[in-house]
Amino acid sequence: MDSLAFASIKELREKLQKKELSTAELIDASLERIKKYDGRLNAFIERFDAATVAPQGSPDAPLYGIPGAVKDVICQKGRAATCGSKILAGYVAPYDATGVARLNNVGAVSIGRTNCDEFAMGASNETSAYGPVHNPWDLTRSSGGSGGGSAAAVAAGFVPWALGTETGGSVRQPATFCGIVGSKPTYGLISRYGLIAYGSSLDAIGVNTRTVYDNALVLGAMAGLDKNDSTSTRQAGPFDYVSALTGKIKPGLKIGVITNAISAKGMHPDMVTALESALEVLKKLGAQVSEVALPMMDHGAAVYFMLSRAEAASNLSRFDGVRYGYRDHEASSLREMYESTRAEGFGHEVKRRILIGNYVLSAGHAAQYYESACTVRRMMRAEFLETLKKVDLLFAPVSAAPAFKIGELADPLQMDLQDYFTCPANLTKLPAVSVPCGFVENMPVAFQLIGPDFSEKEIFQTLHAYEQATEWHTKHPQL
Amino acid sequence: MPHITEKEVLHLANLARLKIDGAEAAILAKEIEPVLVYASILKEIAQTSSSTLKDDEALCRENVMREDEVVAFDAEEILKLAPQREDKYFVVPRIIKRGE
Repeated sequence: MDSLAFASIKELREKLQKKELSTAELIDASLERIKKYDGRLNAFIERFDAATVAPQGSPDAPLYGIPGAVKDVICQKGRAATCGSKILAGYVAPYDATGVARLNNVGAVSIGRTNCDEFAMGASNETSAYGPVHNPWDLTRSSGGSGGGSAAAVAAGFVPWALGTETGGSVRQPATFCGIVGSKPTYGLISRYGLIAYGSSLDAIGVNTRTVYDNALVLGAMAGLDKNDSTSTRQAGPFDYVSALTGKIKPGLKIGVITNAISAKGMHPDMVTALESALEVLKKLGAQVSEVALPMMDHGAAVYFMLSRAEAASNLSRFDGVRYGYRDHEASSLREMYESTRAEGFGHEVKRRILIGNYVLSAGHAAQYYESACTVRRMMRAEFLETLKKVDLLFAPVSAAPAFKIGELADPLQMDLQDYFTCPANLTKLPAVSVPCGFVENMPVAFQLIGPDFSEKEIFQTLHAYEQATEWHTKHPQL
Repeated sequence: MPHITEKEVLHLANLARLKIDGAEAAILAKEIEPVLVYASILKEIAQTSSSTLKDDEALCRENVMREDEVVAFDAEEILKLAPQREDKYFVVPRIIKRGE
């Protein structure tokens, strides 16, 4: 059944509908492959028992019987949810996240919980209490993070889709490192109800798949109004993105290449070549390519460090050992219980971020750091929106180089700077999708397109045409 | 002068209810310092912002609200997640010491 491993959702649906394959066979094949190979990758924190998973609803539903996986920061009813942390030990989600419920309603089947950096804080999956995720293209390299498990699981052919989440790039960066498609929709497009919060003004659920079509299909199924998330879009879902995937781009489409991103410090020279080749393909498809500069983007990482840490400090105060999760039972007073529970339950990176967050929010420092960051964020969004009046979509790298070795980025600031290319889309709330565009050092690399609010359809249409004109999506790692 | 000292880290940890020792505070201060140095440019940039810059207009202009209805969860399902409970209560260590 390994022949099914790299089939797209579209192909699998056809096989299911022609009854060449049953949903049980497909799900078993996925679970078997994970059992066989995940010892090398560590992509899953939990692989569900086949007897406990089955598709719901009508066999005609668009994702009926299609197995997938969910990053372990998103609640799945009756399943544990750890956030890659020890502090949530023993927690079982009492409800489904809206995104999960909507996928269940159209027949999709989650078969496990994927590994991630602790509370999605990291860019290498090395902060997970469950260990790092190894890159399926080279086991000595990082899968990227925070959603390394979801990206590796899709790249390795374990599942055709996996949910991820982004605060500063945690879908697109691992998707890039693992050679697959990663999406971060417009803020509010997909409800965060049931997503365990990290940075609430930034958090978004995104999708990992091996093709643009599959990504558009899964994202569209989750999109739309949800009254359980006050920041949700008012437009009712689901959204149809797939009918726009014609293999052609919009006539006269204008793409602006973010020059300061391409010439960023530390950019691998072969990366530039790969990006230039991708632009040539887009031009052949009819795109009008021009150069744009977005100087505010260069401050994105600094803004992101301030805002995400500040929001994390607030969001993570709820983990106190009282109502769920880990507790230090040795503590003799309530205060001591809080302090030792949190000290033992959280890993070093999470503590670092909580402390930075408290520092930049504290009375003496808030004006200099937090409030300044809020202002610069508004300046960034204004600059992006102004530029997007002149061009339809923006073109940028996702990383300066392919996946680094596990353990290579020991300096926390260097690790943090992985967010430079990705966090501007989160800060400006704009949609961004990345697709593979070649190999550097025999490792996959990618570019991303960023568009105006709710321009997912146009982004997917353009990237699908690019994908159909190239062969990168047909390359898969040997395990 | 550094932006953050070991003493400040210990103070912040106390506010955040995180028990850390001196050695850990020293490491954290050393790690946090370059982040603050890196972000210290923001104040200057923010000052160049034009006063007419408006907050986000297209997104999240108003909250999406839900009806004020009780969502019934099985209380037992929630309570059984507690590290320690008694009947329908969460149990925590005593706040006031015996004899006080």
